[in-house]
Amino acid sequence: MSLEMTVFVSGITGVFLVMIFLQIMVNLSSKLAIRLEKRESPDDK
Amino acid sequence: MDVFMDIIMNLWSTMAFDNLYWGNVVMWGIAFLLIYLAIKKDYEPLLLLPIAFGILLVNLPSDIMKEGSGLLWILYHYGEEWAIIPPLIFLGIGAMTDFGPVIANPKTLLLGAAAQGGVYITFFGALALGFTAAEAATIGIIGGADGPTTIFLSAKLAPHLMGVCAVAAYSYMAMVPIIQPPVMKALTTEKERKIRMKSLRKVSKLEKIFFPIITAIVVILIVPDAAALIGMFCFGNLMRESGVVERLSNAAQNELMNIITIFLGVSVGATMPAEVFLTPQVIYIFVLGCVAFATATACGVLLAKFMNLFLKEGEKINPLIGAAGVSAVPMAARVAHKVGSEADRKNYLLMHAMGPNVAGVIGTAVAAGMFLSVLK
Repeated sequence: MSLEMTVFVSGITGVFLVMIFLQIMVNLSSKLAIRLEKRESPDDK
Repeated sequence: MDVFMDIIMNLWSTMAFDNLYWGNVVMWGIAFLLIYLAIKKDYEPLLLLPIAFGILLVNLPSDIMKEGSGLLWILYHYGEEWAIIPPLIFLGIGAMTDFGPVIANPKTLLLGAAAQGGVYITFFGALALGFTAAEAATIGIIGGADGPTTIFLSAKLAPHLMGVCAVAAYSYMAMVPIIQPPVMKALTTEKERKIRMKSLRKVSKLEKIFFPIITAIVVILIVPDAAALIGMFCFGNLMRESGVVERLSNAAQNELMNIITIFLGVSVGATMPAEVFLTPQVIYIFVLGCVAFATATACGVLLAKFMNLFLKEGEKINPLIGAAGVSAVPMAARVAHKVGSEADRKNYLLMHAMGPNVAGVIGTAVAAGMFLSVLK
């Protein structure tokens, strides 16, 4: 594959790969954060 | 009389007039135009004004850009060539950014990625016009609508294009309200522009603290070449959201940001002496920069339309917010909101558009990192 095509394919793949992983991780971390906050809130009262 | 003439000649030889040529005068005209646009038209004045004055200074014959000792050379060398200033700007941007809309609707991260399609389309356009792959990457990244990333990438791949690409990026960022709406309207129907999106849920403080940590880990593991930009960006955001280092967060947003903006602007302007700027290549770069913005807008809108094919009624995305994926925070989000409200006055898209808007900042930094990983 030529250098130009390598740049294109790796670039587009890399950008979408990052965003898809990030989306999954943000969803998981949100669930974790909400669960942690729910667990903490009764103690606060 | 001879003594008098000698004095005059000696005095003349110490002046700079002999070293002036027509190109310098043309560059003064460009500097005056940018100063006018910054002051009178309010076009990105925080950067265009220092850049314009840097252009003026470097086109007045002096040793201000002399390698090794010139003031602006020192600022340029240690600030941009060493790629220190762009990551510090990212620190400030991170400290100013609220990621709530992305966390509330993580799907919008994909729109931030899609808008980078314009970067790669322009990359091929630049190659077709005879630029090298490294130069084409630097020109393409203008489509990411992110000045610091453009400067960061050009410092690493094509330092001779830094000034031109930075001016093109900042000029077009100011022109987002002119460039984007025709593309957005051409690619969407009236019905699509009227789509109302569900209100975003409230995002907790802990979610906002998790976000920069997770983003840094994910992005740097996949694209280590984006570490400088993303690392600083996420650190700035963590300072903001943690709430325990308010002084540091304020310093990153205000004092530090202001100081480095001055150094960045004036030294980027100083990379544009007449002999570098007055070439046919510059015209190509400005044309390609405009193409980059338009195609990036189109890619964001088209992906939003594509995603709607798979989303249930009531969860559909207004495709206009895809255009905000080009970064240019918050201007592109405001444009999406404005075009949407022209179709339906009660449709409030601003917060929804902020999601792809801030995702676009991450997307552009990642695209720059991917260019670096292959081309450096």
